[in-house]
Amino acid sequence: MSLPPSLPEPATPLDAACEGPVPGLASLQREREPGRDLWAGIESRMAAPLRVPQRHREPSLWPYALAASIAAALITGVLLRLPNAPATTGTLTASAAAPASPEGWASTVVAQRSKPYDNREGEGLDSGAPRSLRLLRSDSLDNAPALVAQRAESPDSGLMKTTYSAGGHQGAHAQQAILRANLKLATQAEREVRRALKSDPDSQSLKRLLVSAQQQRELITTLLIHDPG
Amino acid sequence: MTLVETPEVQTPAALRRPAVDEARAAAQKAENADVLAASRGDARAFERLYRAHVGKVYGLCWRLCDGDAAKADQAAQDAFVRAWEKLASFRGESAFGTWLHRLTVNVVLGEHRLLKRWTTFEDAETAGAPEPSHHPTAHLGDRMDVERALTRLPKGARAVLVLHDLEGWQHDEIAAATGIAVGTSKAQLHRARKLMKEWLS
Repeated sequence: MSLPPSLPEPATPLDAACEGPVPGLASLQREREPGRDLWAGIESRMAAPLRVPQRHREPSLWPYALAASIAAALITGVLLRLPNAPATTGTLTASAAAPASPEGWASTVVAQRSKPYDNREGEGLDSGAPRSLRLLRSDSLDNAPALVAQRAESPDSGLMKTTYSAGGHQGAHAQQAILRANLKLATQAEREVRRALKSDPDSQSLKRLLVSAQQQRELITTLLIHDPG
Repeated sequence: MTLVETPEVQTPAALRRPAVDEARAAAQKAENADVLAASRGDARAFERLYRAHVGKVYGLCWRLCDGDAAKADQAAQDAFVRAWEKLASFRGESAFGTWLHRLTVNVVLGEHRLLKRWTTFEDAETAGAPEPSHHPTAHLGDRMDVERALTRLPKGARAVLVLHDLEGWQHDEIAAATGIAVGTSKAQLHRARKLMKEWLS
């Protein structure tokens, strides 16, 4: 977080269209004294014991449970190992415009790289096509992850990198869940921009923001269609 | 009549600045000592921190809680109690005030679920944007002041406007704290500014 508020934010097209902050808003007094002294209530709650979970000091079975789990995992791994389907570990960038946790700035999710993209290693950000063309190509389904990655690199994209590395069915489900959650966010963003445009139809920055939101939604939709899980 | 300048006026600003810096550094040092003591369980030190920061914390809670004093009281108390519980995790990477501000926003937006049901501008327009009945100056005069216009905004838009324009947060930070997309935050801010300017003109 960047406090105090005097720190400048990188200029975005939207800022220009908003024509700056509301006059008089910055001069509002940020401090406000409560009507009563809150300290007594705070102090009484501070005195209460913290809700720390108590550890039971009973004879612990944890070592045995741990050993049994490791043994089970090893046996399962040996039995289920398939020679032609190694779990591919890699990183993929998905849109995660808002982490679920308020205290977190990015989500880490486990998922498996989809097969159609396996032979696309190295493509994407360094692709030779012009950026605008790559963004607007409708037939570039195979480049969808790269496009999302590219959009994520854009400072005003609203996308954040989500890195995941693991394999298996659960990973694919997690990937689908992330994509669906982000599709919902992108759709909501597009809806909000459209509402803002209704009242300010001449705003060029809102139009650009709408295009950006539409592209994000289309890319996520493309990913969902291309890799339905 | 001849005005005689006082020695204080004649003092160059450059000479006064070190004294101000020294006072600020001393205050910061005292606050750091209080933070350290409070993290070790010193309630008196934490009370001093409370006295120093309650104004800003309460002001933030008051605006995010729709100007409702009772809710703001509760939110501010919750924030300080949470700060007391979490103080051991404060590593001093930012100023204590910055850390406390972020924690307050998380408490208000996270626990009180003000933004769980995102209030859209469309809702406000169709509902005629009624002014909050509890606002003491809601019917005074035709031209709204900034504070009244702020309380008239829908909750979501007000939160974005307060966090961005008053508290200095950036859109990605607002999105992370509230669970909306960055584009939504930008659109809310745009519309909030436009509405405010219309109301205040």
